[in-house]
Amino acid sequence: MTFLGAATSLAADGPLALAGPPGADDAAPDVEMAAHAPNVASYTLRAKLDPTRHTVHGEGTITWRNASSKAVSELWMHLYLNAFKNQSSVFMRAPIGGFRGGHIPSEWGSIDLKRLVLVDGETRHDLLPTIELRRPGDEDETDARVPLPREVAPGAEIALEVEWDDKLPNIVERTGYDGSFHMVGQWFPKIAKLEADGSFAHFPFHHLGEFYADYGTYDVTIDVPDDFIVGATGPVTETRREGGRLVERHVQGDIHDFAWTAWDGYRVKKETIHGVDVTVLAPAGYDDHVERELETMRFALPHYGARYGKYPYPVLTLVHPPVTASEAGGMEYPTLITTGQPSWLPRGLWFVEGVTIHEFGHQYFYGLLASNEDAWPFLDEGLNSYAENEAMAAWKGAGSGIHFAGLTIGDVEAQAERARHFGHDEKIAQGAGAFATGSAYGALVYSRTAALLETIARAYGKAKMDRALGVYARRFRFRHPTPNDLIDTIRAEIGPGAADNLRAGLFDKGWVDYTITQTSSHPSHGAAGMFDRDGKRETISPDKTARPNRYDGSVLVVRRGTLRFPVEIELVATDGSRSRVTWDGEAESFRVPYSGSAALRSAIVDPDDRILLDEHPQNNFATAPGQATAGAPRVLERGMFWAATLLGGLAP
Amino acid sequence: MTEPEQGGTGAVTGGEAAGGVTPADGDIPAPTATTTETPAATATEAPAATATETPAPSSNADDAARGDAAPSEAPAPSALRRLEPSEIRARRRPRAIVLVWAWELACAFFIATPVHAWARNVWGAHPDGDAAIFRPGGHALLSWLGDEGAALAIVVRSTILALAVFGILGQIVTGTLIASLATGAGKSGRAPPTSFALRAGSASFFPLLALGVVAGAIEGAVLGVGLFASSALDHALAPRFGDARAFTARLALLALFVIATLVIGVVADLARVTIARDVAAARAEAPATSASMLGYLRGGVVAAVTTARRAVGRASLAWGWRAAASIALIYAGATAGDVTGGRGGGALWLLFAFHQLVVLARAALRASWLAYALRLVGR
Repeated sequence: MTFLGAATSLAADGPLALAGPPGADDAAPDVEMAAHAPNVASYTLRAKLDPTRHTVHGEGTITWRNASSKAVSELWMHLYLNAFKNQSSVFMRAPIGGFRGGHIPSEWGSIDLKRLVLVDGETRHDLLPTIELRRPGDEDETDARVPLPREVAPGAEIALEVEWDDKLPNIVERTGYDGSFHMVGQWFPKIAKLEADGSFAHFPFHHLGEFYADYGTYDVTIDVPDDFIVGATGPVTETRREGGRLVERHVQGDIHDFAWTAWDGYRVKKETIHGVDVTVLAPAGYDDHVERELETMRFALPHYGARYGKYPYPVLTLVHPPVTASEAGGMEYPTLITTGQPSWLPRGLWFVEGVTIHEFGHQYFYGLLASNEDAWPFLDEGLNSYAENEAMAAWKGAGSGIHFAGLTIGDVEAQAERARHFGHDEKIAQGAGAFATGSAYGALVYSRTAALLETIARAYGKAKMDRALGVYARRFRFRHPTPNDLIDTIRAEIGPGAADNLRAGLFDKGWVDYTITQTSSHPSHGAAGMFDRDGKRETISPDKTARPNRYDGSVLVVRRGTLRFPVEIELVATDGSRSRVTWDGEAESFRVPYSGSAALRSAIVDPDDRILLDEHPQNNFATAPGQATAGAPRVLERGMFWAATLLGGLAP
Repeated sequence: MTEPEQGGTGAVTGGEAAGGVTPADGDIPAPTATTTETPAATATEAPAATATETPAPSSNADDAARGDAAPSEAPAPSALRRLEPSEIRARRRPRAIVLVWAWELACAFFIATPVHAWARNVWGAHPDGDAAIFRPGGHALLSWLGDEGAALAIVVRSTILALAVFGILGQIVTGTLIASLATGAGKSGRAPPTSFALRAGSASFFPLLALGVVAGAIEGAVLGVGLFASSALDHALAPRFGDARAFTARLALLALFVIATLVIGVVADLARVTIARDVAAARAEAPATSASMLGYLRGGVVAAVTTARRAVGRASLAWGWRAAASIALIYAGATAGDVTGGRGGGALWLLFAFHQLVVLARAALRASWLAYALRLVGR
């Protein structure tokens, strides 16, 4: 069967047919998973690249079905390349710092519609004269309203003929050119997602925003100079060379976007991994990075398949842009991801692996679940960051972020540290355009969501979290889930406590800080004082009631904040013995009694660092009054060695 | 380069020995000719006079017995002389090497005190103490560094300041070590008294500091040009050959400048040993004499350049293998720390002992290099 045949058969099976039997190591083998997406918006397009003028001429047909319950009298169409047309676009005028794509392009970009015709049987309606590109008082042209000459009934389908010209900017946030390198994303007129109630989820292209669209089948023919190499969404179904041009046709069903790249500087490496044809496109001199990216996919394809369901497409293309076009890196499109990192980056600094696995994870949370990234960016970036952390830890262990020069830093620990600093600023669960800064967006949407989910996993059990996300990813495949779908799944699979913490953490800026405020220890004795017994008053001094070789005491643990996680408290005696007590974390404080044959030396709450969201891990412990502290001899020793070493570089 | 890597066991290969070389009076440079305040004549004459009386270096056993033995046996300063090149061996000055190590140990304690105090204040009450920040994953370490930016800034600044102060004061120790290596008493060239070496080292402080500043400025300028040129090359080649290959070319060009910088550092060391030797030799002859900084500096530079013109390759190789050994020792120390992780008790004491052995070995390598440099400039 050809790739085209495979793609056609996938689409022909119809929406929501069930996938094949689950694998033995599936996180949620009992959960049904749709094999195909509903076909709502399908595109048959042709694109011709002029690599010297950096333009793309496009034309083709869009078939669109009203999948809602109401008749529709207008369409909303996204023209996202116009985000780079001038400084009056929503994208350019957003006062956002601390995130990618912050510079002004030296070459502006645009998309100009040349033809938009509704084919209505024998009648053809020219829609171009009535299209509304801008709103009054707003010069943004990324979100166009297209009035229709007649209503489209629920379930009815229409066809649109389109023709347009793209002018690519020099690389700005994911798309554009750098020399002869071209990354072509958000390049065609794209119909906004139609919700079930008949409204369109349309929005201008915001600096921090990403995308949301209906599923369909994309049949795209790309025409480039014949010394260029093309990478694109979906498998190649046809290739021909004519008149000094290379023409490639790519067809893929069950997707909601299409991107492609063309460059005469690519080196190509292919490998079939876990039944998927993986292609890596990278500049010359990046052989080691190519191998690292393939190593990553050898781990990631089966790992993600077991957790979130089998990757359903026959191909995956990894694009490593040249370093001068790094803004094109670290992005996801259906069956095509862009990676990055400079050529000199050594192993042990696992950033090549991290970005590759992160972008691949988007194939699930962005690609197969397809939540509204503009309204709920955490449903993609946050869940995907958690999945990245989980996968990197499963693969690389404790040093999943950095294992280099004596440093062992975990990917998730680094996320948690970043997340702590923004927890009180804004809530996680809000639209991309609502964030005040790019730094807050990054720390909250990516890092704090990941740290919140990791904290829930550690507090309630990783197996439960694996299953919960496995259920969520399978149940809502191709179904555009919302935050409530996620929270309800967590409630059902882990419990109400976890779901309440998740909701508070996402919507209410939930936070927590466990601390030990009091520690005491003393020799054990019975009650002393004056007692009236048998008609007589008896005074008992403490030494009379002393219990030899026994010590009593207590530890007071306080929970500050709004999140309530169960935690362990460890008590350490002077003879080195340790004991643990579990607290459900519901009350605001908890007094732990101590009794033992040795005095209590110290205590610590959350000794295994399960509560990654804890605001101040440095106040989680205390030493009892009068007891010697453990001190910091390791820091002194290491400090002296490195001081002497540095000093030796200056003078003996 | 301000100073090359130090350290080593003091083992000098047979090829480095300069036995049989007749010392040249002309090797004692400028101060003798330009400064009337310095004991120029005696400084130049003394080595020559004693050289004829001094036989071949004694055996190591003799040195061990006589050289660094009891202080009561130490000769009076007036009996000291500048040693012949063939007599100069780092292994004959174990006490000086140990003193260098002790100095570094003391400095290291002071330099590490701010970060230790900070760590003890934050993590001391933890049941496992600062072991928490050595845990794999780095949760405690990251939260500590991330949450306490103000303390971090104070600790970093005070540590850098302490490093700078001790680095500057270290010029005295460099001078002391060179004085101990370059001078001796009696036929066997016994080690000079520590007090003499210290005074000589102190006297060479300003010339050595000035040399360090000048050499550092030259090295910095060469390295700066290298960074600029290699960056320009990278940008020029990237469009045609790709960024990976352009970056390789950048590294190759930068490496040439780094090598040039290191060679300048070697030449600076040749000047350094010349200056400290001449100061010590002058004080051996006339202890009360004050030195002319500019005279010694000029003399040191002239001698270093003269020596470098005839032997820069040998000098660089001799420095290079010791530097490589020194880096290997640092790597071993770092690896040992990595392996030990957050363990305490006996493991921590073992690590401390190993780390100090590394520091001591590096001090010995440094002394070995300086002894070689002394032999080279003395020929």
